[in-house]
Amino acid sequence: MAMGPASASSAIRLEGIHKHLSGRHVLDGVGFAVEQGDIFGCLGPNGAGKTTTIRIMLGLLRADAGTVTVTGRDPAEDAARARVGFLLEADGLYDDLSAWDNLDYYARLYGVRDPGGRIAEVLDGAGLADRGRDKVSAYSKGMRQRLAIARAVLHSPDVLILDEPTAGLDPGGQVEVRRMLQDLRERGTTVFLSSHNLDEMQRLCNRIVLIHGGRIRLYGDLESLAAGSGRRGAVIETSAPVPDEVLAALRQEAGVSADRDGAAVTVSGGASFEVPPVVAFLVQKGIRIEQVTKQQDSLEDLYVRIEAEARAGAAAGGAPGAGGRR
Amino acid sequence: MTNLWAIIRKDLLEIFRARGTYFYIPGMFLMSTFFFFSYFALYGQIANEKPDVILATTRVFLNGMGYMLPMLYALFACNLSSAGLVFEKQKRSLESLMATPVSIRRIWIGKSLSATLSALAIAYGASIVAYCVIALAEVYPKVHKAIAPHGLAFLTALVLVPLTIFTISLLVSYIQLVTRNPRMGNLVYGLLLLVSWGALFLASFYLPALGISVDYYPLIFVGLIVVFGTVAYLCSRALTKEKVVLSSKG
Repeated sequence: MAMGPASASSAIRLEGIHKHLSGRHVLDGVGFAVEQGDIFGCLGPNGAGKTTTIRIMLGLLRADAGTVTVTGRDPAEDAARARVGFLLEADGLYDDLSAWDNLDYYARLYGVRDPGGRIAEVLDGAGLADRGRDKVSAYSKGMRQRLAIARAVLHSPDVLILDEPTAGLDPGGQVEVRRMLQDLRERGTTVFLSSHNLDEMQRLCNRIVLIHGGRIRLYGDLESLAAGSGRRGAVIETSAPVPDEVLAALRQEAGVSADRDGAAVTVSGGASFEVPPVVAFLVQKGIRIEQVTKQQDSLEDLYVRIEAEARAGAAAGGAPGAGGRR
Repeated sequence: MTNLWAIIRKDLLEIFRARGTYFYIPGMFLMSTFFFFSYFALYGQIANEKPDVILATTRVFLNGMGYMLPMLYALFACNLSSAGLVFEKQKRSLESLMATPVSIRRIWIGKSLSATLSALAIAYGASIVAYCVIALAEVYPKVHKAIAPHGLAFLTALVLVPLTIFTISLLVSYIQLVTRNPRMGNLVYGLLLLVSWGALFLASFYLPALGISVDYYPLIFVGLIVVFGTVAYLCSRALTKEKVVLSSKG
């Protein structure tokens, strides 16, 4: 599958990545680019190939075919990984060491200047300044996750790769992690985020990739993907129920689907759907409009539909489902 | 080199903060008391001999201690490198470590070195205690002369034994890095120790029988270092992060 448009300065760039593991084709021509300053979401069901993709981006696995660059270098090079921060599925913290010692270890591995000052700064940023000398084994799941993110940003990386950063956190913890990510984005850090939490992805990410069965099913700017997904519409609330003949005329003349629910009409159409002509049509027919609410596919709607298409495609002989959406 | 020392420093910190270490060390000290018992059994026979005989006999014993006692603690090093890596693989902290700008060879060497250094620290501690008890507390009051082991014993204890322990740790660590089954690593270090101890044991019988002085014992260590070191070098050529990741669960 060909790569989407990407600038030479892409923070992460994958082209035609193939990877076989245990006789299974885990990644089948995966390619995408994460631009500098993006919060880029990676979606997909379990076993889709997300973790393998992350491992390749971190130089832990080698692609069988294709090219990967992170900050313009091969991630197998130490110099590339020196500019990347990460949080893997398991936090990888040392339980018998204090938060400070955990951070001190990584500060030394990354050669952070003034490690003491920087550790104090990131501990403070993670809200753990007063618990820094406690053993990590005494930490709650949320505290561990915040510490792991603090560790990931300790060396002020250009790129941050996070695998399920809010998994297992209570709502307060999730909000805290999201706040940390938004702060990072404001500082210009590029974030690659893998998550099952579609709501979180929609809130945080400006661009996404959806991987299913080792292939890319959806890739691009989140707003344009939702807008161009073929499902756009509006709920038009009226002062009285719209008569049947007006509804039929609306369907026929405006070329939209329209359903009445009491004193409201739900209209939807294809990618070229526009609300004003529909409203104008109804007004022309003497309908009094109370309120109009635009509707667009959420990321969840997109995900569910594309996953279903991919499954149907796989059942029909392994053809790429919605791969052509890229 | 900075990140190599960072790994060693962190591992030593963990080893000496773990409660298990402080159960293990007395156990190892207890095991090494057979040196004391064997010496005092011997001393009982020579206590009434001339000072020269006591000195010569004690020196031979101290030389042997320089060769043998630190090797006993190789067991500790192997346990550390083996258990440490198994634990890091289970907790997946090894995967995080590999994603930092540190090569897999440095991680391998760092972990083996930290196990070796901690074992040596304990071994040298035990050796110094043994020397003080035997040479200073027991022999000196009797003969009024200070006694020190042979230079070759020092060389062996300070250079050859550490290298032997290090090469064994390297092989044990390698196996634990690339195998899914931790028991395999345990089996390997058991075999390596058996080979090392077997070589020393056979030498202690056959070299004197062949009229070869105990001073040639260092050659056995050199032989072990060459063999284990060569195997470790060949292993290093085959070691990749991918192998380690794929041998880990998850």
